[in-house]
Amino acid sequence: MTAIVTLAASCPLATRTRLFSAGRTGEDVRADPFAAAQPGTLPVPNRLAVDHAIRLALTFEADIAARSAWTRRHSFAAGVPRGYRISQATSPLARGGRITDGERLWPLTQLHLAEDTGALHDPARAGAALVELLVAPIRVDADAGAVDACLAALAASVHAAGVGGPPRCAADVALTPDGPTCTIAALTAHAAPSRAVAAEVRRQVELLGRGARVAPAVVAYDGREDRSLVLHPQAEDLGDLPEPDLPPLTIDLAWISRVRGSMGAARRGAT
Amino acid sequence: MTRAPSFTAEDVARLARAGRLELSSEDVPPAQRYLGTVEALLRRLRDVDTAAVTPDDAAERLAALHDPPRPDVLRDDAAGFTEPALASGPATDDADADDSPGLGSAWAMAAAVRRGDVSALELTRAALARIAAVDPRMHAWLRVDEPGALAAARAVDAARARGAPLGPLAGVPTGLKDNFVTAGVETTAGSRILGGWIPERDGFHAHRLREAGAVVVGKLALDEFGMGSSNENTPFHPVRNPWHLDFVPGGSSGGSAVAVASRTVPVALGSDSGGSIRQPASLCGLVGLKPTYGRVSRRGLVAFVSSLDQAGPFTRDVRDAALVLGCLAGHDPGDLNTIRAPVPDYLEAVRRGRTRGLAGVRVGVHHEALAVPGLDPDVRAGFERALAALADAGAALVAVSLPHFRHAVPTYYALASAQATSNLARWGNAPHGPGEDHDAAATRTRTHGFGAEVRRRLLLGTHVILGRDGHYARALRVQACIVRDHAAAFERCDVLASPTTRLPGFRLGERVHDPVAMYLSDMFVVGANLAGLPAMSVPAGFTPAAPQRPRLPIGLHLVAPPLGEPLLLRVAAAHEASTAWHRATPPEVAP
Repeated sequence: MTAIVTLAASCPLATRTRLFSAGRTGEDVRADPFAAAQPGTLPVPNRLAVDHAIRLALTFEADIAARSAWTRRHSFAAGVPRGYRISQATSPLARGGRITDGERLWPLTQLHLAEDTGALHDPARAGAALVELLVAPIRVDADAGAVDACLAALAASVHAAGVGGPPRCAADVALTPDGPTCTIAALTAHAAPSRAVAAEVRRQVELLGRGARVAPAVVAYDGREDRSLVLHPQAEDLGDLPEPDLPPLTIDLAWISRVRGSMGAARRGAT
Repeated sequence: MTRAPSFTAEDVARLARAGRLELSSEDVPPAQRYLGTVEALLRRLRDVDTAAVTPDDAAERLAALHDPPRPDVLRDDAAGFTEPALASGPATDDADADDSPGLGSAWAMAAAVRRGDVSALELTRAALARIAAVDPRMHAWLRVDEPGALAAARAVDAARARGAPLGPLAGVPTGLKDNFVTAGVETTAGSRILGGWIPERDGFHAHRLREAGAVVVGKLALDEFGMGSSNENTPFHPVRNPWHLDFVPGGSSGGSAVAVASRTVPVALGSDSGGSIRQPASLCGLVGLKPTYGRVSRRGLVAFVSSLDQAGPFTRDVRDAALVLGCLAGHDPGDLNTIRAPVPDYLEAVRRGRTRGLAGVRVGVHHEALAVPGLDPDVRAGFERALAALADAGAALVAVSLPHFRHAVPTYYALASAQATSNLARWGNAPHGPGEDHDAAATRTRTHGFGAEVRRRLLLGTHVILGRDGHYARALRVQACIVRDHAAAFERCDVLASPTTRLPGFRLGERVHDPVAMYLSDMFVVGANLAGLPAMSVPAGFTPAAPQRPRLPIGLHLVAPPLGEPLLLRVAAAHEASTAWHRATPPEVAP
């Protein structure tokens, strides 16, 4: 049995302040007027976050766009104080590129900047700078071992780039390329993400075997029972709008060269 | 002929759920009718041929006003924010004689304070007394900060006593529309949902006015979140027009207009996303100025339509408008849409208009506006009189066309409803108490916190954002056509002229049950917002008193190319110099 797995990784960036405001990353959002969604506040992108994103794009050999744009992605979720997250998902900073462990290659679809959402146990994450990476769909067999290799290579490259913490991943799992998709949340919370993917594949196969339908949902892996559990249906799509508060982000060759130069320096410094 | 669009009760329920609003069963049929009517308006945009433009065109043209964006416009990860300093230096009392008697104008007040003829404290006490005397009939002032105002006035007087330089608005009592963020003074944007919010820090506008020496007396009424053209969309008292108390003052900055028209303060700030400064200025017989989009920062303005919002002054004469604009204009690193171009000497432009006339200036007469069905004959007569005054001052009149004029209102409502829905998504979304269902709590807060017009627009905006009909992308394309229309018109003329409104005003209650008719009252003014252009309404006379209608003010609407504020002020000043309309006093506040 094979399945199609699409990995999405969020890499928290090592910036002192949030992506769009001067509040310290990780400090209470209430002390940061923009992150707390106070009326009258406006976003101003953090240059260092863009530097870090360029660095990751160079690390994964992605093509950096001369011009990328910001979008508001609406959600009434509790960790999104403004009711939208600002993201470059629809006009990314970089396209293409690949993750590699030296032997195998996993192509990337795109890499872009976005704001983090506040989590139930960590509301202060809201507004922190992230780079989101979308991995091109991977065809896996029953043990889904390729997922572990890909994620390990991704984590190693992000670590080596030295711009942020370990990536957090989610995986969209479908049995066929245009089949219904279920999303495994918090994939990287487990030692062996492949087991979570394999369990979700088994769940979907079992549903189809019973003649039931696979409904798009968010699922979580129960490691003790080695099974995939449905958490809730996929969130309703509340739509995107172009972000009217921000002009497009333009990145010229000089900026890219400067970041490339600093990477060389860092590597030399490390040896 | 396409079938009239219809929304089923289930469609409405789906939009309400997505927008976290609860509708009672009696709310549903009017919501269906409203959405159907606006949808019919939005569908007219499908007839527009937009092959020649891309959705980014409008943004591109505005972006052309900016320096090429470079890394240095972004924020340094570690640096704190520094308020941009007031560009105009301390004011000097030059040879520009004050021809308005008494202390009517901000210019005269500030000059008198600097000379020591009057103290800021006296001016502030006079403003407070006047508010107490007239405002109970007008309801322009939502909140008066008497202790704050007296303290600010004393600080100005103390600075003068020390010999410190005084700013261009030294000691001038001012009011701010209640959607400007003010430190220590409750800021509600006219909504119950923000009730009790007392910001810790001033927004850009309050900070700048104080830096210029102005005394902030209090906060002014508006349609809730700026959504309205009459000041009737409010949980508080509707504001009344001092020219006749049965008439609306216009909106959404109606409180700001009436604060100046009723002579409580010489300057009030408003905000204008689709005519919200110029329409009430016209209805109240004032000068109202909306700058080029990006000329004035939006930081500290509660967002309504982020791509169109601009702050600007209400004043009684053109010079005061120039004086206030000079204090507000300029680049702000806290608003990436602000323009870096240097701030010109707006007072010099006014002087030029007053003394040297308009030789060589081509005034484009907006042809489609005059062909609008139902254009009031008195408004038209007033407009022709204003054109004659401009011609007498030396201007050449040329007829110009804006072919997409009739599409401006639907384009505006597509953009405005969607962006407002996005900007208002934050309310009800704050973390709730433990154990409370987030969605249920959000729905309850929003349903009870927002007024009827806001809830209507949230349903519409949710429909637009969900995007199944492509309204938003199409509206951006039509906006680009409107930008092109204006650019083409400015090849034939230097400023565009039209009446500000189709009718001189309307009675309270006359349009509250017909929101779409209310929307159409802004048809002459929304184009300047969509094209990002500077525009003004200036007093242009009155309708004759008649049994069915009292004497009401009429406005002349002027629009200039991007950053053309100096030309706009020059033309307005030349018109003002040859007329006396701005000196008339409303009967309700005559001494």
